[in-house]
Formats: sequence, C-alpha cells, structure tokens
Amino acid sequence: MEIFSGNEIYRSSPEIKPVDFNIEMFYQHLGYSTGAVPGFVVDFVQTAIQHIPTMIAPQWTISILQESVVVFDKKSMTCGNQQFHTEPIITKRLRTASTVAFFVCSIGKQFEEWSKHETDSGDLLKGYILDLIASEVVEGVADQMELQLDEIISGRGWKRTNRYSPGYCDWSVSEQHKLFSFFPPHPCGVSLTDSALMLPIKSISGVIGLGPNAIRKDYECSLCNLEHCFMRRNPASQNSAIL
Amino acid sequence: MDDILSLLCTCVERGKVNRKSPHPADLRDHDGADELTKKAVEMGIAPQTILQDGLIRGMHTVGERFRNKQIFVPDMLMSARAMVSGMEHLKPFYISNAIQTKGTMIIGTVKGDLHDIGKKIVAMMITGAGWNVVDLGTDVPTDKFIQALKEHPNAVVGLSALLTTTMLNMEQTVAEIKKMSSTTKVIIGGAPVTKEFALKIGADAYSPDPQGAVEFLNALPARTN
Repeated sequence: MEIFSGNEIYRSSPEIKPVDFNIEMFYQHLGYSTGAVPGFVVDFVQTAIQHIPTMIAPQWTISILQESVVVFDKKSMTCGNQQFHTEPIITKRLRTASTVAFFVCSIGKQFEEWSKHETDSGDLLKGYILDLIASEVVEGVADQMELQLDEIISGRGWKRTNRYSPGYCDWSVSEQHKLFSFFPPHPCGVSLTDSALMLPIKSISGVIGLGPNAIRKDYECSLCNLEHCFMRRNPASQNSAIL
Repeated sequence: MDDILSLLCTCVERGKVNRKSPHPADLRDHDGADELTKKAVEMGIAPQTILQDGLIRGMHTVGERFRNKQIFVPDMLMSARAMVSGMEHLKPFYISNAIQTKGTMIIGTVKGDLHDIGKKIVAMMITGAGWNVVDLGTDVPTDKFIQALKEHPNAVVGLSALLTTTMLNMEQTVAEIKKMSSTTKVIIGGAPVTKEFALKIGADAYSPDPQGAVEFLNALPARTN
C-alpha cells in the first residue's frame, strides 16, 4: 500500500489461468445456448484461451479515499475538489456508502493486438472472438480485484457496492479524466485519450462504494440504458451488440 | 443453373467456405462457395446472376436469421467468409463492369474513437448485399469523410462510435456532410447511439445491427458510384 494525495493505493498483478475463463458464460454472451455452439467457435475459443497466460498482463490498481473527503448528493458525488456527475442511478446506489474506491484494471495490449492483427488480415471471425475473450478476461480481472478489495476492507467493518464505470448508467465517460486524477500517472499502464478512451482498450475503470452500510446487489443490467451492450444479461438484446 | 445457384446460396447461408473446410459437419467433403462460384463462372452463368441469386441471396437470409436471433455473430462471420471466397472469383467482372454494385457506402469510426470490429462487420454485410464499401478506418476526422464524398459523390455515409464522448463528434461530421451535400444520406450506429440521437443530429437513419443498415441502403433509390 502507498499513499497518493491522501488516498490509499493498492496494486496487484493477479495470475489469470485458462481454467479461470468462464467458457459457458462466454458462449452465452455470444448468444448460444448450452450445447448449441458451432464446432468452429468451440475449436477457436479453446485454442485462444490457452494463450491467456502468455498474452495478457493483468493488473489492477485501487485508490481508496478517506471518508472525510466524499460527499454525495442526489445526482453527483464530490471527492475532495472533484465533482463527479454520477447521475441519479449510480449516485443512489453509492449513497449507501461512506467513502469510495476508484479502480483501474487492464490486461495490457498484447491480446487486443492479436485481435487487431487477425481483423486487419481479413479474419474478422477470429478478430471478433479474440476481442470478446479479451473483454471477458478484463472483467474477470475486475472480479478478482473486488475479492481482493474485500480482504482490504474486511478489518474495517466495511462492505462494498457494485462497481460502476463511466460511460454507463448516464455517467459520462468524459469523467474518466477526473477519475484518473486519483491515481499516480498511468495506473496499470493505462493512459487516456482526449476522448477518454483508455489505452490499452481492454481496460476498465470505475468506482465502488465502501462503508458499513454499503449495499451490493445482484448484477443490475436493467439499470443501464446501453440496450445493445455485449455484456448485457438479457439474451433478447445480444444479437445487436456488435457496433 | 438454378441448382448450382441454390447450392451456392446454401453454402453462404451455412458458412461452407470450400471443400476442405470442416464446417458445417454435414457438408464435409462437399464443394463450398469457393468451388461453386468458380464452377458457375465456368458454366457461363452471368456474373451478376451468380452474385445476386447465389451470394447476395445467401447473405440476405443470413442477415434475416441474425436479426431473428436464429444465428449469432460468429455464424454470420463464417457466412461472410464463404461469401468472400466466392466473390474472389467475381472480382474481374467488377473491373470489366459485368457486375454493377448497388452503390457506394463510405464508412468509418469517428474521430477520437478506435473501435473497429463492429464497423468492419457492418461493412462486410453491406458488401455482401452488393454494395461497394469504402472503409476509412477508425479515428476518422470530418474532412476525411468530406474528401471521400468528393471522390464518391453519390455515396451513402455510415458513421460508427462506441463511446459517449466520441458519438458527439458525429454531430459535427453529419453537419459538415449535409452542408456540403444536403441530399447525401447518413446512417449512424454504435453501442451508445440511439434513434433519438440520430434524429437530433440530423442523421437520416440509425441501426443497431448490420441488417438494419442493409435494409436502409436497399430501400434507397438506385444510385451510381
């Protein structure tokens, strides 16, 4: 642990193994029901996930703020001198907390470069599957980060909310610039473009509420207005999740 | 003639690329779109007929099945792979004008955004529907769209964005395109984009999926490149 601008910074490079990859969930995200996955998809996914240990560099960084600097109102959250327009959906859920942790997770750029190589070579099928595998893996890193966060806060009598990211539930992705100010430069090797795109692309940032009364709920896709999100847990909308 | 075109159509629908491709299992050791297109050309069937009644017809079914959630993106891409293998044999006929495309679509991901795959899938489906596609890539500034439009004045323009920040750049691009040519049709797409947003920024259409883009294009009056 280190201190940065008064915030507790925790970092880790967890090990992700092929066996950690939830292949059934992945096929569901592709749209397939169990037993209905075409052989060419199974063959390629099985091959690709064997490269996970050598082609990803999983990292996460957490910045836990002091309780005294975090103030919520109905539509926003003020952290020190930064006001986040987290909008009502997210703010309502964060308000059960007494402070927040910002986080950044990444799997590095090698896997997405593999996807890009296949796509640019004209093999969109492989490029697409690799891109989605990378998305699933970085979500898995974030899941591991949350478990580690549980250990960090367990001695404080705190619980945590779900994680929420800029770009979802009306929270503007442009606020990533503010979020990154709570970390030393380039957390997990991630940088932001002017349009708040994280590079490497397969990275996640966001906020988690912490405190004795923080409430975590089951995954809440219904809150989000990204109807065509690939991660959406509603099979009815999955087919459109490609743009 | 109808038999071979029906077989070709089936190969595209089922994603049977060539004889050696193992997928789908029940068509193992059968000719794929590659061999069947070649045979159709050798039989003297008009290239435009091969394209329309074999490849495009197959991709049309694929698009409909995708929209109806009977198949998913990987199946669609396997079909596109089959279509591309067939189209390789038709390339010379584009050059000789024995095949006419339905028109040109200029497509790109707007400035500030590097997301590429979804846009490429849409481009592939539009190609499979018989259109010429000019793919400008990602992080495309407005002036690059304008330049491409000068080179293809009757083209339709497709804009993609995957971020709420970059979708805002669509507004300026649409405005500049309409300022240059008010009759140019613009269609937009991308995860955060909505029909309401398309209306707000003056785009002509929004589609959440490739088939919607194809249907929009095919409903337009015939146009030259």
